[in-house]
Amino acid sequence: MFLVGVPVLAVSGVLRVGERLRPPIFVGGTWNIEQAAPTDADSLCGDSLINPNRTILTISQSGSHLTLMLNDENRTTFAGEIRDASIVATITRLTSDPSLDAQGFSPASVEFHATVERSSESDRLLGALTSRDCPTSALTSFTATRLAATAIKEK
Amino acid sequence: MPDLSTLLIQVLVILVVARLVGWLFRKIHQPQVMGEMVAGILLGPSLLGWLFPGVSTALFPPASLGFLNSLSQVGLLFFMFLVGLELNPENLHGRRHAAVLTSHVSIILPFLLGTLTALYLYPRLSDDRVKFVNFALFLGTAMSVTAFPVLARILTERKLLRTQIGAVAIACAAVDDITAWCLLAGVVLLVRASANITPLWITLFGSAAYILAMLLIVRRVLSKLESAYQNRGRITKNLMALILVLIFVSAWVTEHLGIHALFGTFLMGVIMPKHKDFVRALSDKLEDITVVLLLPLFFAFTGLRTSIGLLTGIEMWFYCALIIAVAIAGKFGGATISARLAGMSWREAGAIGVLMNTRGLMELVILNIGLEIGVISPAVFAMMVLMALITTFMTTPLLELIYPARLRHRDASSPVVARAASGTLRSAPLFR
Repeated sequence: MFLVGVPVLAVSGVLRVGERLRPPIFVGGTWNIEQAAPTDADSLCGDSLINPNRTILTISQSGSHLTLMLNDENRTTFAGEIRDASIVATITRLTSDPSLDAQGFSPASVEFHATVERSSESDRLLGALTSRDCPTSALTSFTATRLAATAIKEK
Repeated sequence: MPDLSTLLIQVLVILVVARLVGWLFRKIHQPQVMGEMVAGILLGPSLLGWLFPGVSTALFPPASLGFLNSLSQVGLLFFMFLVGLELNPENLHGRRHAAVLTSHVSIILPFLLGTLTALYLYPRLSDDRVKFVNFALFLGTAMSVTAFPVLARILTERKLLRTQIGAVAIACAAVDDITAWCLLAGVVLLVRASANITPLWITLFGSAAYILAMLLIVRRVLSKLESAYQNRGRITKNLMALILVLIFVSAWVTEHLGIHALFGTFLMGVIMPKHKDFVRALSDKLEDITVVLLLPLFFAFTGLRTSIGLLTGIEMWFYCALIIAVAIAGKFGGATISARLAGMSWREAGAIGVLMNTRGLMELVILNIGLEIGVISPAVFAMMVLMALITTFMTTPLLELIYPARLRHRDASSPVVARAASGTLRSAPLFR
């Protein structure tokens, strides 16, 4: 009785305490990225990574740890974290692209920054790709909207 | 529409790799199923996808995985039916006190430790889509599991079935299995209710009514199956078709009630007539196709979902080590202490603890459900798959250390439990 009763009481206590815990916000899933209106300062490197004609971003989330995969074909991959509503990730894998090499561009220098905007209709990511090595040293900004499961199937 | 030739190649590769790795594991005195589980991981992104991403994508294109998953799910339905079929209340005969005490403590302690660990892991490895209650209860359930079929296989191989330790362990594992599946059904129910998939009252009343109907009415009707078997002396094709229909109906009902199809097939197996010859004949009909063909597909599908690459950095590996340590401490510690309190020697109690710590395939089944309903993340899934593999792998060498062959032979020659052990488990046909 003691060996079972006490742990059962303890489990109910743990469940009560745990209700107060706040985990990171959910950003996992598939997002549709669209490049914001280009400006003169927009980087060629960013252009190479984001296809203006709809790029898919897949985020795999484990708590604050994120793995982001950009582009279905190139599989550009970032690893990073979410703190509050901000995502910061660094590139971990990029399919070799001669056009990038020609620009003197090191893939390892690319960073992904985004802020999560939550709404009852659809969550949005407002973000930018940055690179220390880019000739223009500038940003490529983008917005992303979460895709519903049905929309993913259609694609 | 899936490409048939892709599917055939997938099945071919999975079968060959599973048998090969299983054979290698047998060479190091591990159960075949342990090798098959590892084979699944090797075919996934953790090895094949990491070393040869092109080959991996060509062999397992994402669009083809739905069909592979469906096949593996059918395999799991049969497997859970077989697990239920193997469970027999007679396993408790003469060992009720030790078995009940050990099994309950070996569930509640890891369950408590699992929920306590959830306090630490939830803010770090979960997200706000998952409620703490669901995460904690799932972690507790996953920590409490014992793999009845793998345990049965190890007991048979180590010639432990005729010892008191083997008899108590298998009885405890039987109780653990039933309890763990009831807990899991509760967690699935909570998650689906919070997602408004099925209204809670329908699930609660429906499940209670269904379980009562199965235990009180259907069970009696099923006894006629045994009579039909005895009249003909074999399981006829019509009788087999009827049993298959019952399995799928039960799966369909529990799936629609919101407590998962696997619970329905497990329950159907539990309430089947337990006459030794009938169970053997039915197992023989279903076992080979399930264990040799369909379960390796499930292992491969699990492996394709398991990305050890997600465990990047010391922090993630620390969480993984914590999960493994807590799982071992809860199950091994809980079972050892309770067996000792039930009157066994420390050595015997330790052996019970080691055996109960075997999680194997049952853990993988539960983890896949957890990932499907979204209560655990892919990284937690990978960590817990590693935990399942490690706790299963360590059973045989630890058992050899704590309870060596000379003691096993001595205890096996004692007549204490020979009758019950040999009569109720039918020599552990699963994974024979």
